[in-house]
Amino acid sequence: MTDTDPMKKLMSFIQHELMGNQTDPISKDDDLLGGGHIDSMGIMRLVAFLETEFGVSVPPADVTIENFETPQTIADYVQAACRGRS
Amino acid sequence: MVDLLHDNLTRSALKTPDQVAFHCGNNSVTYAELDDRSARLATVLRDRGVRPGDRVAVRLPAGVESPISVYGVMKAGAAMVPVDPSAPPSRLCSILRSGRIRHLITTKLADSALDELDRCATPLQHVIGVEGTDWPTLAFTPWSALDAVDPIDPIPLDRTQPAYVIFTSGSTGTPKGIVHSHYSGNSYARLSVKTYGVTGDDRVANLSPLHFDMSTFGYYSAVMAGATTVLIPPSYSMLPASLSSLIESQRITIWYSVPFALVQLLQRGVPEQRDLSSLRWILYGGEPLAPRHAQQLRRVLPDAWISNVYGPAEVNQCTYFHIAPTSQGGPKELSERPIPIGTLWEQTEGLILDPLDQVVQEKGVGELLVHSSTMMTRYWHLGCDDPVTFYFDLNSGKRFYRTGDLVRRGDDGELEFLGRIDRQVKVRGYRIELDEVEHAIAQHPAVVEAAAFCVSANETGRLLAAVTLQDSSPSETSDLKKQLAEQLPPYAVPEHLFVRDTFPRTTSGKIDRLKLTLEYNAFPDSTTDRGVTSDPAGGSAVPRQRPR
Repeated sequence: MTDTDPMKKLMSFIQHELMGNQTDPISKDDDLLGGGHIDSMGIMRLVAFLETEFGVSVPPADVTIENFETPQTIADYVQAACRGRS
Repeated sequence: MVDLLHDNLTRSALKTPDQVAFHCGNNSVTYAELDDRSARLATVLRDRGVRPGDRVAVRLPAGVESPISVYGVMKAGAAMVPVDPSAPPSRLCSILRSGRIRHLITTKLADSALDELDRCATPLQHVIGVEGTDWPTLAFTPWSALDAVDPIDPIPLDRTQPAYVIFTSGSTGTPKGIVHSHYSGNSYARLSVKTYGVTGDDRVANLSPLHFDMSTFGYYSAVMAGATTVLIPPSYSMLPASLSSLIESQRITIWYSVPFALVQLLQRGVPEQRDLSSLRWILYGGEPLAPRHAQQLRRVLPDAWISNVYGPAEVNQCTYFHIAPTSQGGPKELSERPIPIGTLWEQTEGLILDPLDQVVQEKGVGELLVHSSTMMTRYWHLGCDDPVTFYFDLNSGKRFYRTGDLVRRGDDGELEFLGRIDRQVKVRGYRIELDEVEHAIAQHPAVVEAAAFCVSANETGRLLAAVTLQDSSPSETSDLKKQLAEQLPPYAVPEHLFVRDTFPRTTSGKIDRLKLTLEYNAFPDSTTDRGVTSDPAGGSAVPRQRPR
């Protein structure tokens, strides 16, 4: 893994910025939504992060449970969005 | 005559046994199943020593186990005490201690929570709903125990007995228990069913967790009407596009939420891509809805009634203000003035008093006091005659609850909400006592002084706090934030903690909170501008007020 690995950046953002280092380390298959890890403000910050960090456009219609359930589903979504763009 | 809240369930189960009572995710329970399962849970609770008048804590995520627990506890003759599953264990402990609670229904308890329970020496003896945990001081009963017992008939109770106790933020740091009897709960159910014409054909969206008083509509009113309540987990409110899909697929007819969820739905829920025509009532409460958002709502849902629901948890609901659909005589363009809280509903009287308890004349501003059949009995730790909580009107001999809300009667006679007389604020519908937040911050050894305050944001308040620290302490607040997260429910933890050298002062030397609020009012909200991270501190969890 390198610093440019999207998953690593994503996990770091969720862990440090959204959760404020307050809980045990999360893993890529953790349920972000049900576990009380993130609130609605957090989702909005996460979307803004994805757009600036990865240069993808995240329309509101894509901000769904299927796409944002775990770090893995978010990474998959970002990858698909990047592919769609190129 | 139906007297007890669970009598409504029994009646609906007789009338429409196969109707779905509660639906959540992929699970649902019919009225017959809910009646049966809750009666079995009552047996289990009796067997574990629950007696009439006891309190039983219910700490569950959204799911069909919630209504089974609510009604099971009541059938066992006890009062249901909802506990926020996302609140820190210390909160659970303080509620268990305050309420002298020996029984808890929950799905899981982390080891850290069990440690905390031991450390706090709570009266807890039995945990129901948890599988295969071993802990020396507690007896565990799995949910499957319900299958092995027979349902019992509800324990006879007087309707003045407590049905549920909601613990809410208290200014001293100790949660305040709002005690509702079967009578007050049932009065609310009856009046709300009547006001909104709820029938067995309705499908009610319940977005409020059980510990939030707005859940009473989905849990009690809908059951009285024999309607279906769709329990919506918090994850849906976070992802409005999923929420709007759910409204469409579940054919929701009555929506009830805080304005924040509605605005999210309008702004990010792609409502134009969904068929939301099943909605006939949009109820909102807890906070005001900005007129421009109401206008947007009217455009998106031209055929739905909009109702501003007002009432502190202590009285359930006490006023309403309806906006009729255009097709039924409602305005196409809404007024730009704030939406009134409206008219007192039935079985309810109001007084508007000045600080000396004199009746405010004409259109003057004063505190609203309410006497209603839906009013709580008392706060758990205080008497029914507590003079701070209640006002006794010598003319009528009636007891009024002091809401702490400032109101005025408008030109059209409708009541208008103007603010609070104390330091209670609302964030996304949740009541927060700023004194409680400051009390929690001040307990940290590095803190010299603390001020918590609220700035306005997109349709709700944002809770912020500022501190001054001991000279020797590092100006690092992550430890303090961690401590707050362990003490306060998530919504009461300030979004940002600013470290300052000094506070602005009033002439009398107190912290000038107004000035503080104005100073930080423009502090960027990283959530309002999509796609732009405008946070000057680069999204740091602990932004500094100035560069170090």
